[in-house]
Amino acid sequence: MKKNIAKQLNIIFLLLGAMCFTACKNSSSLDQPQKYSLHLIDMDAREYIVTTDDLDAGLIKPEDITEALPDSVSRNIVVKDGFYYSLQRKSNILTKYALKTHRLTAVARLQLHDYGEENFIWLGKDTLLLSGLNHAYNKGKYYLINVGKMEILAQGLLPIEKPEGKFVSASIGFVEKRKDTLFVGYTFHPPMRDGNYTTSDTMYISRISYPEMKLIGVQKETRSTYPAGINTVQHNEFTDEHGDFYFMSCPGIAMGNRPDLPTAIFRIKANNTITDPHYFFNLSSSVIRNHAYGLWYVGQGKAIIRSERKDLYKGLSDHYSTPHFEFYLLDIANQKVIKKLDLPLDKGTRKDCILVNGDAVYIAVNSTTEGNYIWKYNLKTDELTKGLQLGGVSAFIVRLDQLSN
Amino acid sequence: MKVNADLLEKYHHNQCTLEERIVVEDWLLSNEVEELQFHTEKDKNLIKQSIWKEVTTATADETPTVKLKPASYYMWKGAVAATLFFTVLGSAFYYFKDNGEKTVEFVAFHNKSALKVNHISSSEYNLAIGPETSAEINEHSGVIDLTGSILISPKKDMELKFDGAENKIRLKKGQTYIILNSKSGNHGLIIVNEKNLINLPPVIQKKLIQEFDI
Repeated sequence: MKKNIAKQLNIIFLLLGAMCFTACKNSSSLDQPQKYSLHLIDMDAREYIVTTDDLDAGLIKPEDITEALPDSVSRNIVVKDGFYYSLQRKSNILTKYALKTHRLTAVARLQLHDYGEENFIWLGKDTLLLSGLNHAYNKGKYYLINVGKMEILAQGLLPIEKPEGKFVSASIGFVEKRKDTLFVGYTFHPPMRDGNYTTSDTMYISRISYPEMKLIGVQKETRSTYPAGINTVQHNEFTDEHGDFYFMSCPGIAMGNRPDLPTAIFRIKANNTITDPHYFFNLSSSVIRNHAYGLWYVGQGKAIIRSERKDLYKGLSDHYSTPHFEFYLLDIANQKVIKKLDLPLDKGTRKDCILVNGDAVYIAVNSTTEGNYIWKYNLKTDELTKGLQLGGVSAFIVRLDQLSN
Repeated sequence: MKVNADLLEKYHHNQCTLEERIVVEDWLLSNEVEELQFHTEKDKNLIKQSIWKEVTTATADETPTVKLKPASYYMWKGAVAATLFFTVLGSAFYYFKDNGEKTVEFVAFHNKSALKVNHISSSEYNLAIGPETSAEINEHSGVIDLTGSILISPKKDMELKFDGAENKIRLKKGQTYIILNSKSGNHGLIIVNEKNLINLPPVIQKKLIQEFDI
C-alpha cells in the first residue's frame, strides 16, 4: 500500500510539474477571472471549481464545464484576486493556481516544511499570513508569504502555549491582526483513545507582537471552548466596521466535542486586548437551542450563523449527509437572535457558503427536496429569493468565494 | 525451514516446491500459532473445520496445481527496522471459502499495538489496520464487527455489512475508505472516502493522518 501511495504521489508530482511548466510557459492564456467561484462536491467525492458572474439566476452543471479536481486539491483553499492557494498536506507544497479554459492550472509553487495549516489571514493585498502547527500538532508555526512573487517573507515558531499534562495536541482557531499585535485563539486536546475525541475546557488567546512575533501575553477563557476553527474550510470569526473582533466557540460534536459547553459568540473590543467580560452571546441557550458551526458578518450589525439540529441527525456518521442545518440572522452587538431564515434544511457539516455583496447576502443551500441553489437574502427588504441553480452531479456546494471584483 | 512473508508470497503465487508448500500449509493449520485471536472456542472450531474441508478437497484432487483460491497473508510493520524487535504486535489470520463468486477472505484480525499500523494485501483489497484495532467477520451473516480504525482500498467493487450499520456499505474499486468504529467512544461507525477526510472533525482527521501516514 505504501508503495502504491508513493507511486501515486510521484504521478501527482509529475502532473503538477507538468501543469506548472505548461502554465508558466503560457500564462498569458489564463482565463479572465469571473466574479464568483463555487466549490462543488459530487456523490462520488469528486470536487469541482466553477465560476460565474451571476449568482442571481441560471443553471450550472459542473460536468459540462470542467473536469474534477486532482486529489491533491481540496476545499481547504484560499481564494483571492483571481487565484487559488492550496497547501498539499503530504508534500507541504503551497501551490498557486489560476483557471485556464475552466481548469485549475498551477502557476507557481512554494515548498513549506513540517507545516499543517489551521488558519490564514491577509495582511495586505499580496501578503498572506499562514498560521498552523507542525506535523506532531503540538507547536505553533507561521509563514508570511508574498503571493505575488510566491516567496517566503518570514517564517518560524508561533509563540503560543504548548499542550501539557494530559493534552498532546493543539487547534488554532483564529488569528486576528490589529496594528502591531496578532491575537491567536487556540485550545488543546488529549490523545484520542478508544474512539473518544475531546477538547480542553479552556480557550487560550495569545497576543503576539507583529512583525517581531514575540509573545506579549496570554488570556485564558473558560466560558466555552474550541475557539472558531480551521478557516480555510469555514469562517467562525469577523471584524465589524467598528474594529470589534468577534469569534464563535464550536464545542459541538463536529469540532471540539464538548457538547456540554455552549456554542457562544465572544468579542474583543477594538480598544481592548482581552475578551469582553460583559459580552457572551450564548446561542445554545437562546431560541436556537443547538450547536453551530459557521459565523459570517453580513453588515449593518448583523451576522448569520449556521446551526445544526440535533433532533435530526443520529451522530457523526450522518452529520454530513443528513439535511439538518438552519441559518439564523443575529443582531450581533445586542446579542439577539433576529430570526431563522426561511430556507430549506441544508446538508454538509462545515461549509463556507455565505458571501455578501452590498445589501445582497448569497447563501448556498443543498436541499434534498428543493435542490441546490444560491439563495439571495436582501438585507434591506428582508426578501429571500432563489438564484443560481447547481445541477448535474452537484451534491454539495462547500465554498462560495469572491474570485475577483 | 521457517515460514516468512517471502515464502507466503511464493505460496500465494503458486511458486512453492512441494516441500515448501507442506511447510506453509502445516504452519497455516498448526495449533501452535500463538497470535491467532478468537473470541470463542466455537469460532475456532468452525474455522478449523472450514479449512480442513478446503484442504481435503484440494488434496483429494491429486493434481499438482493447488486448487485453493489464492490467499495471501503477510504483513509488514513499516520500514523501521526497530519494529523487528517488537514482539509480534498484531496478528492476522485468513481463511478462504469457496462459495462461487464471493470470497470471504478474513475471519479476524487484531492489532494490539498502540502505535503501529499493520498492512495486509489480498486479491480483493489492500488493508491497513490502525493501532488497537480488532475486527471479526461472522461467517454466517457476513457482518463485520469492528473496533478501531481501518483503511481499505478495494481492488474490485465490494459490499460490506458492519455491525451497527443498517445497510450494506458499497465500496468502489480504486477508492480508499476510512472506516472507524467505536463501541465505548462517542462517534459510532463512520465510513468516509479518504478524499473526504476533511469532513471529519479536525481532531479525528489529525489522528488518522498520523496513524495511517496519509
